[in-house]
Amino acid sequence: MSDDQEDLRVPIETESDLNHARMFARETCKLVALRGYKAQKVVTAVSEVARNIARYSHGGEVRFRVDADNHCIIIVAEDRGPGISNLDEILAGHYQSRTGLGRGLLGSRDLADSFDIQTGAEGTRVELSFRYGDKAWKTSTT
Amino acid sequence: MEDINHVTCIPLWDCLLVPLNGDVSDAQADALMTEVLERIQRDECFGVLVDLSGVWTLDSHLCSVLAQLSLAAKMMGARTVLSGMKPEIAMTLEAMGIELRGIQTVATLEDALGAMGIRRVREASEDRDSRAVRQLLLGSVDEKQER
Repeated sequence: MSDDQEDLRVPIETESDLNHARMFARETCKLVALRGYKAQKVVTAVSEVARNIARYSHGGEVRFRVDADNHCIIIVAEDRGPGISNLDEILAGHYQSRTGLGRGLLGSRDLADSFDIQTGAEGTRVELSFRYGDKAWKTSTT
Repeated sequence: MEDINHVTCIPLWDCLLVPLNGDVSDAQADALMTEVLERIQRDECFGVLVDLSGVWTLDSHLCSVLAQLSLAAKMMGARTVLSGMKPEIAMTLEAMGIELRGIQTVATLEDALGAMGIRRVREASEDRDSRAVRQLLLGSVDEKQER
């Protein structure tokens, strides 16, 4: 079975889907007994990447997977375009969105244990990993 | 039927207490802004106390809404104080580099009330008890005299 088949998927079309994505993030944290600050980081990062999909793309989804071998939660946020033209500016912290803070993508990068982003005209794919448990970190997705 | 995005605003003397709870949706955040600003004007409020003790998650958007609310309320002559932020939420915002500049934050609702100049004044229990006893005794004396 491929990893994709094991993923929990939350379609994101509008900002009203964000509550759903956060609920899935909380449930995933519960599944691996992640609490407090560590769980808060996961839920907040999911909220940020899901909002980017709802606000700036033509729709997409957030997928959740628990990698029990490596003791990490893997979250993939994928949309159907139009891509992020000013990615470098955003990741350098020089960009401010119309809502004033412009910390969404940058914030999720700062919260995750590993962060990877691929963007193009067909869409954007953000992968975040969060460690849980005491096992040493073995893999990196970046 | 009550609106699902309804935001509770409790009038408290010349202030407005706004407790936020659970998973605050974007629609609720919008309603918060509109409702609070309307109430400031209607009830002539001097302060807005936003209590976050029941909030599950505070992301950059909700922070932005709270900052905008604080600024707009200030323009209308009302001060905004945030209280009850959970440690894990404060740590998450710090990790994201969100500072909530321009908004006063305090630990508890009691501190928020204090920031608005509202203090608890409790009558000494001794005074209250002795007054109650005196009333009882005087009452019984009055009853005897009436007989």
